[in-house]
Amino acid sequence: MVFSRLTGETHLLSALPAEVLRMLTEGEKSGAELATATGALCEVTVDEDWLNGIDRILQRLEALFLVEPVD
Amino acid sequence: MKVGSAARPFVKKGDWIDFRTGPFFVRLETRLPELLDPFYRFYGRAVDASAVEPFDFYVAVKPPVGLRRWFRPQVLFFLDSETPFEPFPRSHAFPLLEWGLNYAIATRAHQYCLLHSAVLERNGRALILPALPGSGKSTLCAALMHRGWRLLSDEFGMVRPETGELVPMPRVIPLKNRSIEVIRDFAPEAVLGPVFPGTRKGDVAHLAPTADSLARQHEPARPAWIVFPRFVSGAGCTLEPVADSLAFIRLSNNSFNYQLLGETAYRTLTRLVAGCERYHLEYGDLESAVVRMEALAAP
Repeated sequence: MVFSRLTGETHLLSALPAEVLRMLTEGEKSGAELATATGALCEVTVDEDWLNGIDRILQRLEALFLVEPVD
Repeated sequence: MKVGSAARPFVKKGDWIDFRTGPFFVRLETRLPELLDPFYRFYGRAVDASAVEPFDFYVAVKPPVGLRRWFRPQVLFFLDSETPFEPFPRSHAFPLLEWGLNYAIATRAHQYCLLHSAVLERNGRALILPALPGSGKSTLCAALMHRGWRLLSDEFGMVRPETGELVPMPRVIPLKNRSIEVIRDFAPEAVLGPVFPGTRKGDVAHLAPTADSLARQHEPARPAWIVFPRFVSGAGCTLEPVADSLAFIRLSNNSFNYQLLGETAYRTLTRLVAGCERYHLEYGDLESAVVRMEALAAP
């Protein structure tokens, strides 16, 4: 469960997006870094599918105003 | 049992009455005997001639101007200068006051996180029954009250964000349609007012809070159980755990002011859910449901 102070909305996230968000609270990370870190946590091979999956999660989190790309 | 012929030993100032309901002081302006009779019978003890301004709510129940004073007479509810409802038949002045007070609290008492739920207490621990209309919440609440649970409210779970406690506001329980007979059968000692036929919610009769509930109306309670009830005709009685995330979503959707309070409501409900056992109750038989709740609260 995540509350956004920016939008005032509450979001119920499943485990992987929640973990991505938690990792980003520690500081900025690239999609590749997040894929590697979550892959290790989930004990999966970090291939193109996994990278794309993490990228889709980041896009969704960005659409919810929970994360933003760094220029 | 019908409401008896209660005397009126209380002070009435001019055309208004000052009374207390839970934590709220209310000034009610009215001269309608259709309202004053049930009001004094149910709330006479809450009238407080020593109350001073400012009040939490200034409300009035009065006839509109014009011919409708005499032709099929009607009444209006006022909250300050606002009239949130269409006119009611004058004979329905008391239910109108009850709905009006609920409206006032739901739209203004934002010092609390407000849940649409019944709340009862036993052995110092509170049971929250959040539900949609038609779920059997009020019927179950009334039955539990007549099995020794203390009524905090049939309508509002008022959670104090600073402490997480539930604040009582015991008022009459509006029983609707078939529930009226169900409670008459279940608790013959229940003090019920007259039936108001054909209101916007069907036939309504008001059930008085028990003396213990009124006597302890300033005593908050610690939340212990959140039970989402659902009456299903002909069903047995099942009590199943509810995941914390689902309970949170259902409570936040059920809250009158979740969006308004924002992070305060989020933190309040997170704490509430984490501190309570959570269940979904489906029941078709009132006695079985009451037994289940009593087992839940057994020491």
